[in-house]
Amino acid sequence: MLAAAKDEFVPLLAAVLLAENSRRGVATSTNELHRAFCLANSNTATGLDVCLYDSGRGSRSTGKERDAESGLDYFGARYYGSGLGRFTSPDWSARPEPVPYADLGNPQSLNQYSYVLNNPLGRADADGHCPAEDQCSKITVTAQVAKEPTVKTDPPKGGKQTATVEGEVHYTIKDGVKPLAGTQVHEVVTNQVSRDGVQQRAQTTTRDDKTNEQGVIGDQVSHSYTAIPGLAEGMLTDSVNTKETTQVLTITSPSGAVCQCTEKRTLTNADANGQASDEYRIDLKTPKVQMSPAQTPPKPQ
Amino acid sequence: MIKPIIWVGVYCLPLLLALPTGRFSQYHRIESYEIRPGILLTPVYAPDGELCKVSIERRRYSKVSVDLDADIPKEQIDSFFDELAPQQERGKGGLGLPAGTEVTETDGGTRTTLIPYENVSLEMYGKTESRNYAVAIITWNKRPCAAK
Repeated sequence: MLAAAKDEFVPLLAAVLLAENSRRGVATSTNELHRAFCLANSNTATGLDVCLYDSGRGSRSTGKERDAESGLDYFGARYYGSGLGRFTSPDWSARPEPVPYADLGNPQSLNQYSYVLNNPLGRADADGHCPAEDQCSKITVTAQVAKEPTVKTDPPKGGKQTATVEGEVHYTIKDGVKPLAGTQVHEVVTNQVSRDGVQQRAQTTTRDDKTNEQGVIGDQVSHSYTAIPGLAEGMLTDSVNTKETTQVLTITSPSGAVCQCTEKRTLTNADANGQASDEYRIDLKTPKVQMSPAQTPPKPQ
Repeated sequence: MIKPIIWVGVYCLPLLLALPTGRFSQYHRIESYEIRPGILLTPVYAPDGELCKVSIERRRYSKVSVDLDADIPKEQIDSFFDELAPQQERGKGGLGLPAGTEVTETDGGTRTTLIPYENVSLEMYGKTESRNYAVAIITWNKRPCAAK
């Protein structure tokens, strides 16, 4: 709002000065205009004086505004002194804590004046609070086809018969090299099923699962038709059936971070020429993925 | 003349108090029917007021107990399907499949079954470890529900 007001009035005041000087028969220099209307000065990285009002230049540092009088960069929660490479006040959190945002696994987080855990090349500060270490990047999910898909046809029952193709995929979740045993996994599964290239359905289901002692969750993958006897197996093998599955896995890491990754796989009986075959396979599109932070609650202001 | 009005007022007062104008007025009101004891049907309407979809599920809570694995056997869902969308209004098989074909997907812990017809389709969702289904959805394909 202030900047907008400046934008409006400074050219007007400059015009008044120019008119007054002109009336008095005095020339107006650029320096005079600068001195008269640059309400505050700021230093750039090159050391040149520029007018902070210069709206075309905007902010300094990582998008933060520099206070012209103190030379400090305003990050929201605190002011940062770029000359010192430190914040001018200790970090704070809305909920009182002995050492806000401390991570005992990272001693840098104990320095309440440091900028982005003393790693300015790898991180940027968004709001003046210490950014938490990314706990999720250490967690990996490795997919493996535990059972190749096979077709089986049940005996007719009640005037109907079921033909099923069934396989199994295992997802191993590890924190570094350590399997995450007994970890609750929230799965959001989206399937797109097509038959001879025509989409049959798209659906999303959610479910919670738990990893076993080896950090594994097993996913049964199947597709089946139930129809009048004699038809079902042909539906599975005479047409190209493709099921594309996207799974978003969300876990809470041992450090308490909520981490997420997306796994993709395809179950299909299309051969190399795209023709229907008797044999199905599971293609893992993402055999190994690294988790990343899920939507995290905003830091206290 | 006044006496009947007073009597109507006395009888209507409890009814007026039961309307969700007081305690629950801030909540969205929905319509649901108990089609069998403990089994609820919730309809969804198209913008023109036509029925476009119904969901069928079993209540977890009853006066007798709380059933955390409340589900419905497929045979019972079939009977609801026959009642709500009789054979004659379903049309021929949908998605290029013979009428009555069931397509089932299993992924992780969930199992979904679709029975597509030209005019109507039945979807059932359940857990892999159970033969029953947690919810069934009947959709009238030619009556698009509102986007929201």
